[in-house]
Amino acid sequence: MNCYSFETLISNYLDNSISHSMKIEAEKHLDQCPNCQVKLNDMKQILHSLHSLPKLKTSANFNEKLMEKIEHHKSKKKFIFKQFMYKYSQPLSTAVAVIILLFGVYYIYNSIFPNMPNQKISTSEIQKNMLNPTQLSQPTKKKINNLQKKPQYVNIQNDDSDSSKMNKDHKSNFKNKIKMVNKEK
Amino acid sequence: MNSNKKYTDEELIFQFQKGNERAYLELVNRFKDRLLNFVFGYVHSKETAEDIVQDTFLKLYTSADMYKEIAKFSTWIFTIAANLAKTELRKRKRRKIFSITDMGFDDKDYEIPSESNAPEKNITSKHQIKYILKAIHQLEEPFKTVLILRDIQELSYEEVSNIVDVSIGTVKSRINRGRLKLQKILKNLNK
Repeated sequence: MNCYSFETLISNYLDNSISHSMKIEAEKHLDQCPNCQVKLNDMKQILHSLHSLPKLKTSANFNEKLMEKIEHHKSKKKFIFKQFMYKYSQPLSTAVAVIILLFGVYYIYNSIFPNMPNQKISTSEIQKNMLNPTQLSQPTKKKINNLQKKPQYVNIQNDDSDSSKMNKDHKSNFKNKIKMVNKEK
Repeated sequence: MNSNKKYTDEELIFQFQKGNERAYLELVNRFKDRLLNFVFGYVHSKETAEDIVQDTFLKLYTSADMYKEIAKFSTWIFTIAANLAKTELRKRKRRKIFSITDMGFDDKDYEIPSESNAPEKNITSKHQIKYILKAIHQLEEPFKTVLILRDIQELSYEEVSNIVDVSIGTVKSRINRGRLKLQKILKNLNK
């Protein structure tokens, strides 16, 4: 055993928490090394001083003082809440009233004018919504109904496939009309 | 309150969380002296240490719901006390920047309490205690905590391990390194 390895187990040696074989090795090293002997003695002295440091006890009125602190904390909390309410109760109640009023106006407006004039709905949105009709808003439902009744006259943004179909219908109608005029002639 | 002896610290804090204030008082009685000695190792003034311990219990009262069963109650309460003690030390440091007494070894900083287990202590040993307290104060945080708990409060390795929430092996290694560091610091102070 060298000085470094003795140093690493000096506390365990003092606490008597090393194996018997290690203890014998440590003692062998101590017999040959006066430096480590000094170190060990110093350490013993320090430990003795640490153990003999005064053990403190809390003062007799510790619990009473603590209870006072707790009561003070409770009353301070109440006071802060009261002060907050006193200071901000008026603006807070006004803000809440304004919010409620705004929601009320919005709700009434929506129930009177359910169909917003500038609301544009794409066919893809309608198709998507048709899969889950329970989630439809009132104006969307109305537009879908209109579309089912007269699909060709609804002003919607059509997909490419829909527009080509409508163009074909329109062309065939136009050809038929030309034929009819020619026959009349 | 003796009937509470059968309850563990964790059971008592859960009872307090449910509103049982007697459980709180039992926890205060169990930990107040241990915490006082622990905090004294940081601040070296009994009065300040007692104030910090009271603040620790006030925090326990107001934030008991923050305790979850992932850690031991002792670990939790000692951590709160250590944090409050460190805050106090930081405050002192800031105050000291403007203090002339910081220039040398200040006796006022290391108040030796009158209560002592060894009444035969003479002036020299009191002086020695002052040096030891100053040396402990200079130790780095992890070494300081385990040394206070193990060598001043004389708790078992297992108890220290529970409080600092590290393995017994780590506690042993920290204690060994802490003691060697303390030895070096004391040598330098005595020069």
